[in-house]
Amino acid sequence: MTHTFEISTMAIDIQAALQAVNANAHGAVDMFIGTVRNHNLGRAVDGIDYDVFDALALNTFADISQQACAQWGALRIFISHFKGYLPIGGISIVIAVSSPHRDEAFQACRFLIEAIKRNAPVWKQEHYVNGEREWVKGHSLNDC
Amino acid sequence: MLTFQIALYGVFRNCGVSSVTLHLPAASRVAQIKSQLGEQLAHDYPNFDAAGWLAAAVLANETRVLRDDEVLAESMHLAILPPVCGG
Repeated sequence: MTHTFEISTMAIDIQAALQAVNANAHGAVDMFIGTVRNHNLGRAVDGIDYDVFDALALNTFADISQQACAQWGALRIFISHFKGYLPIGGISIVIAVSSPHRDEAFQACRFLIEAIKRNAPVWKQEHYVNGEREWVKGHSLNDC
Repeated sequence: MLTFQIALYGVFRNCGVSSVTLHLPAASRVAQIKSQLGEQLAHDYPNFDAAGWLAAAVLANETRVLRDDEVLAESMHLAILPPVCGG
């Protein structure tokens, strides 16, 4: 099954994501879109800088997609993660999953975003409205 | 001696450089490389809490995270990865 994985420094194209997972035998597409919100842990956020170890991130996307297909069968998967600065409302990640029926697409899409949050080498530096910046505390890969 | 060029990501970028080069004896373990990285960062960037961040960080190559007890037999490019938060 063909999958599409990318680290993008350009705005992520949602229509391209839908096209990438289109398949005549698939009757369901589930999509997750992550966006930058204007607050975190009580602080007013202006935007986020995303740092990515591209090569390992793409390998991680391939590994977790393989796990998803092993669990939910024939899937077509698109994953694009943004790298660089995004203002409030900017799209940081798009995951699209298609499958013959909706249940597999919903479950696999949820699995993929949770796996990316835990395992993918991506970091966020929040920019606050008061001008300060801070790296977001995340999940140690020691625990994987 | 082996040479390891270690790329810095996330909070390690606060050091102000994109990578650090280390020279270690042949057949060094990953834990030894992390330890020497900590010493070098603490020496070169005393305002950065290298020990604190390294405790939760891992070394990786382009395909996988490396275990602390692995032995590296040749010079290579690595990356130090603090806790992640994608999405």
